[in-house]
Amino acid sequence: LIVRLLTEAEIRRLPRLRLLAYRTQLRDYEDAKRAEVTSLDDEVLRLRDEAQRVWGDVGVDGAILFGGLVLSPVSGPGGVVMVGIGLYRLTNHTMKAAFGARDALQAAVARVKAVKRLLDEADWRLALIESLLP
Amino acid sequence: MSRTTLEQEQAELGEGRRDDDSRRWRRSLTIDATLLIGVATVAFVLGNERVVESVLSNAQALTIVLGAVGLVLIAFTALELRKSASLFQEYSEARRDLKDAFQKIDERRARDERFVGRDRGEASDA
Repeated sequence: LIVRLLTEAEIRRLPRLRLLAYRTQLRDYEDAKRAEVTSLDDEVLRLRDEAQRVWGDVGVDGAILFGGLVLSPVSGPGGVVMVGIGLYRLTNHTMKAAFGARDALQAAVARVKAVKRLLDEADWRLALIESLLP
Repeated sequence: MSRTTLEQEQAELGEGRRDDDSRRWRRSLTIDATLLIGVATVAFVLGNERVVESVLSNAQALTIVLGAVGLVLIAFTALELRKSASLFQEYSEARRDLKDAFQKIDERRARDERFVGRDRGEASDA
C-alpha cells in the first residue's frame, strides 16, 4: 500500500471529499502496518522459542563433552569419538545462535522502529484532517 | 516543510531487506567454506595412516584439546544468546511504544465513530 504524505499546506487546501478519501487512505495504511507488526510478533516469538531450545541443546552438548573427557582415561578412542560428537552438535547450535536468531532479531527491531516512525507521520496528518472536518 | 512520501520510507525498508539478503548469502558462504575445510581435513586424516596411528596413541591428549575447543564454543554460544536476549528486550520496548501508538489510533477512530453517529442522529431528528 503506497500513500503520499502531503504537507500541512496541501492538506489544508484539499476539498472536503478529497480530505475524506485521504483520511481513508491513511487509515488503510495504519491497518496494513498493524498487520505487518502482528506477523513480526509471531516471527519474534518463534525466534525466542528457538533461542530457549538452543540453551537446552547446549546444555546437552556440554554433558556429552564432559562425558567424553571422563571416558578418555578409560578408553582413549571412545573419549575422542564422544567429544567429537559433542563438538559436532555444539558447532551446529553455535551457528544457529550466532547467525540465525540474532540477525533476524536485529531486522525485527529495526522494522518495528520504522513502523513507529511511519505511524507518527500518519498520526499528525490524521489529527489535522480531524480538526479540518466540520 | 519538506515533502516526503511513504514510498521513500518504503524504499528504505526495501534496502533493509536487501541488506538482510546479502547477510544471509555471506552466512551460507561461511558455512559452506567451513564444511569444505572440515571435509578436507577429515579426508586428509583418514587417508594418512601415520596420522591415524598418532591420533590413536595420543587419544587422551586429543580429547582434552577437543574438550577445550568445545568449552570455547559453549562460551561463545552463551555470549551470542545473551546478545539475542538483549535484542528481545529492545524489541519488547519498541513494541510497547507501538502499542501506545495503536491505542491512540483506536481512540481516535472511536471518537470519529461517535461524531459520525451524532451527525447521523441529528440528521434523522431534522
